Amino acid sequence: MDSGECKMINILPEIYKNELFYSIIARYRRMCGMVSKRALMRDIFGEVNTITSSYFPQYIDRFVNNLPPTSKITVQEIINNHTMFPFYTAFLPKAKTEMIYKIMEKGGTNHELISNN
Amino acid sequence: MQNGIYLPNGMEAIQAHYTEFPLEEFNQNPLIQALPPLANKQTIIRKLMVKPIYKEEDKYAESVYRLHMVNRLYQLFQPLPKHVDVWNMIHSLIVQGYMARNPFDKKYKQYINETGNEIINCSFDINSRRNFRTTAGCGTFLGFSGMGKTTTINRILSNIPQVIIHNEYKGKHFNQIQLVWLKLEAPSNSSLKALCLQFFMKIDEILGTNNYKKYVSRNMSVDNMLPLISQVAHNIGLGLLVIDEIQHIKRRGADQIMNFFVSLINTGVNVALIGTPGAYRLFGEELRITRRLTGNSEIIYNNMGFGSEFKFLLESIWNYQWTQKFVPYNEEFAKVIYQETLGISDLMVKLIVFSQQTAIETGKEELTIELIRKVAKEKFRLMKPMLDAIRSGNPHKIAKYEDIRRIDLEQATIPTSKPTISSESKKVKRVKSNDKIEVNEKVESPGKKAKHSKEYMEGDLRFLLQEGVKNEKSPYEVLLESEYIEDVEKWIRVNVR
Repeated sequence: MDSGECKMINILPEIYKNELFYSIIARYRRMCGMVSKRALMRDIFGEVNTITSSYFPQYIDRFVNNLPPTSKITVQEIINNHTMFPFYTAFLPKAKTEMIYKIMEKGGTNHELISNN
Repeated sequence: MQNGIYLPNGMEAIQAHYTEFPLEEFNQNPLIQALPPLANKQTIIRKLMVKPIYKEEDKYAESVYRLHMVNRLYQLFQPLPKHVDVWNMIHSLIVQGYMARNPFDKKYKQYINETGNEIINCSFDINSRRNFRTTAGCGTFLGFSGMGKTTTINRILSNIPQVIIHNEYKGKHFNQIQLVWLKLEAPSNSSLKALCLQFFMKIDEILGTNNYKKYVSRNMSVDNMLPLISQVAHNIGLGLLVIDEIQHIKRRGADQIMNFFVSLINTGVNVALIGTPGAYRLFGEELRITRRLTGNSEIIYNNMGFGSEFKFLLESIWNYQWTQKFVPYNEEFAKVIYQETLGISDLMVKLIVFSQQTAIETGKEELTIELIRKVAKEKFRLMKPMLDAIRSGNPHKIAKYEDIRRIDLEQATIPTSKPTISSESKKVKRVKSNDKIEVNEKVESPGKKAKHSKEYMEGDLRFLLQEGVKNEKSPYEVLLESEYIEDVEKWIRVNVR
C-alpha cells in the first residue's frame, strides 16, 4: 500500500466474545452509516475485489494494518477467536491447518486451494 | 507530550493515557479520561504565556540587528482574565459534550446504531431521537478585530492534544482515533456545501482517512450530508468544532447556515463560533437560534477600557525595550498609548514595535511621548476614521463600520473632551443577544416612566435637549453639535460638485 492512499478505520466497535468477524464488520458498517458496499470493502481491506466468506474471511492482515495505529488486535486473535477456523481445522493434519491459516491471513485464490488439495 | 506517535500521514498524535478524575461520571468515559487533567488558574496562565527572547546584552548589538529583534515582540502572549474565561469555556464545552457520548454506554450505542441504520435506509429524521439526550452545546466568542481572538483560541487549542489514539480501555479492546477539536473557517461566500466539504477534507487531512471518498458522492446534497457529518463526528469522537470568522457569513446564506449549526448541535456536535462584532446580526433574528448558539457561554471581547487590564498588558509589553536607553513605565505613557490605540491589543504591540524601530533608526534610542504620537499618526492613517468612531462613542458613527459595533451597554470612559454617549440606539438594542440584560431593562424602563423624573442620564438624547433649552438652542442645533445628525450643507455641497 502506498502511503499517500492510506486508508484507516477511525473506530472499531467493541468486539464481543466469540463474535464472527463478519458480524464485527456488519456492525462497523451500521455504525458508520456507510451506504456504499464498495466503499466498505475498500475501507476494510484497502481493495474492492476481495474474496470474503462469512466463515473463512481472508486478507485479515490487511484489515489489521488498517486499524488505528498501536491497536492490540492481532491476526492470530481474530482467526482463532472470531472465525470458524478452530472448528474446521480441529481434525485436519497440521500442514493443511497451516495452509488454511496462511490463506486466511494473506489471501489466496480458489485455484491455490484446489491445487494444494 | 508523552507517548507521542506519528500517524502514517505524518500527523502527530498521542497515545491515550487515562487519568483519574475526582468526578465519578468522568471516570466511566475513555474519551474524557484521555484528556489532560483540568488546570487551575496559575497553570492556565503559565501554559498560555509566551515570552519573546530578551537578553540584556541584546541592547549593545548593532542597530541593524536590533531592528529585527524588536519584531520578536509580536510573539508575546500575555494571558489576561478574559483568556482564562475562554480557556474554561473551551474546556467545559469539550468535557460536557463527551459526557453523553460514552462509547461503552448502552444508550449511546443504540443511538449510534439507529442513526447509522437510518442513514443506510435513507430515512434519517433529526427529531427521531429516543432515550438519548445529547449534551452538546455552543460557545460564542466575539470581539473587535485585533484583540487576538484567533491567537487566543489557537494558543488554547494547542494545549489540548488534537489526536488521541486509543487501543485498550479497562482490559477491553478499544480501537479509536479521537479527534478532540477541529477548526474550520466559515466559507467566504456563505455556501453551506463548501463548509460541509471542508469538514470532511479537513478530517481526512488530519487523520489520513478517506472519509471524503467513503461518504461523499458527487451529487450529494447538503441535507444528505448533515446526518453523515454528525455520524462521522460521533465516530471520531469529535469534541469541539471551532468555526472561525463567522462574520463572513452574509445575509443571503445566513439563515440556512445558522439553522445548520443548530441542527449540528442537536445531533450532538459541540460548536464554538468566533467572529468580529460584524456577526451580531446573525444572532438577532430568532430566539431559537440565539438561545442555542449562545446558550452555554458567550464571551464578548471588545477593546479594553482604560483600566487595570490595559495597564497590566502595557506594563508587560513595556518590559521589552531594545533601545539603548530603558525608559521606565509611567502613567503618562499609558494615557498617550490608550488615546492612540484605544486598548486594542494588536495596535498596542504594533505601536510600540514601530516606535522602537523609529527610535533605533533615528538614533534617538529612547521612547518618548512625542515619538509615540508621531508614529501613531504616521502608521495608523487608514485606521484613523474607525478609531475616531470608537473614540467618539457615537453610535451613528460607529454604525458605519460594522465590525466595531458594541453590544454591551456600558461605555468605557475614554479620556476625551467630548461627552461620552451611551451606545443605546435602536440598532444596538435589536441585535443584543444577552437575555439577562434585556430582562433587566424591561423591568427598569416602566419604572423610569412612572417616575416622570426630569433628570436624564448623561448620554440620553433628552438630556441633551434639556441642556439645549437651558442654553436657548434649538433641538436641531443641539443634535448637530453633538454629532447625532450630520450637517445638511455637507450633503448639498457634495451634490453641487
